[in-house]
Amino acid sequence: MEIPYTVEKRPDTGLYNGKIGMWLFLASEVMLFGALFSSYVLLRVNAVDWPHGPEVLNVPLATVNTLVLIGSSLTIFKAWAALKMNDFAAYKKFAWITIALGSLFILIKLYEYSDKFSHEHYPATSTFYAIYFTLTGLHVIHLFAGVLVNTFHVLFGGGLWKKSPEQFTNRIEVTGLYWHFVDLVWLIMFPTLYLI
Amino acid sequence: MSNEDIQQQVKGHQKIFVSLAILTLASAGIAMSGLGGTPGIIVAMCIAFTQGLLILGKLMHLNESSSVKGLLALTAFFVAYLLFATCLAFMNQIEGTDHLHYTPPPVEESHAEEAHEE
Repeated sequence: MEIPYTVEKRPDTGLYNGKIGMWLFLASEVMLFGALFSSYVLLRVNAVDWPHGPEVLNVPLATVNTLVLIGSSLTIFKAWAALKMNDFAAYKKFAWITIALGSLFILIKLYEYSDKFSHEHYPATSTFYAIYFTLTGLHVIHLFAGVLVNTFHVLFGGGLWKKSPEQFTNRIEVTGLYWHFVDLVWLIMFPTLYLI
Repeated sequence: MSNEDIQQQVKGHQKIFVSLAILTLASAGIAMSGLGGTPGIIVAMCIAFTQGLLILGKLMHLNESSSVKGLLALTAFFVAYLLFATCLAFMNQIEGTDHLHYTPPPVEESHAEEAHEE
């Protein structure tokens, strides 16, 4: 049985099914992170004392991490563009760079966590650290999932590329949408936790 | 879509990348310079909002389908409601739970000395 609208656009939505599915998923993700940001606002305005981000968190390291993530958004777009131009080798190169940048972000974040733990700052230490670890931890899990999906495509996507290049290109486009969303969430999280 | 069109798009994305990087550095620089309080929050949130619009509009191509716009408008409405519901907690507080005017109970001197000795 052939799955419809994997390549061609569905007349009623104007998009192929994978893309509308990803947008629906991202809408649910907005609700998830929206609820957590609401919790952050409620906790912060109710707190007797709330630390100023730069005094307790490593802003230069987080700035480097932000630049790493923004860079990865560019490389995943270049990976998709390479497929559009029928260049599978270039796609692989940019996909591996994206995976490397995503992994670097996770490693820097883990270093930041270990630094916090070495100073005995745990989620139970204060309300600030509780929401900090919850928000950044959930974000890191999302990024890790993105790294896994991209790795899967690079390692096992060759077969689908030979069979149906357009379908594979659409998969990479949808993966890119998810990756940009994870980037977007971090760009809101970065000033919220680290700068204000 | 021709190869030239795609290369044009890549160039456009490179400009977006540079803009996002500059905005990130500006945001971090302003915070590190010591601008705190309400002005600091407003500036940081304005920069984050601009970055969000750049990603949604230019990288995620939000403007390409009306069905996605409708879906996201609905999502934005519910997120706004979530934030509004947070404000409701202040409008109808349970008596004795006013944390905004909370003053910690005074520490008895004998307890304070014991804690100091420990």
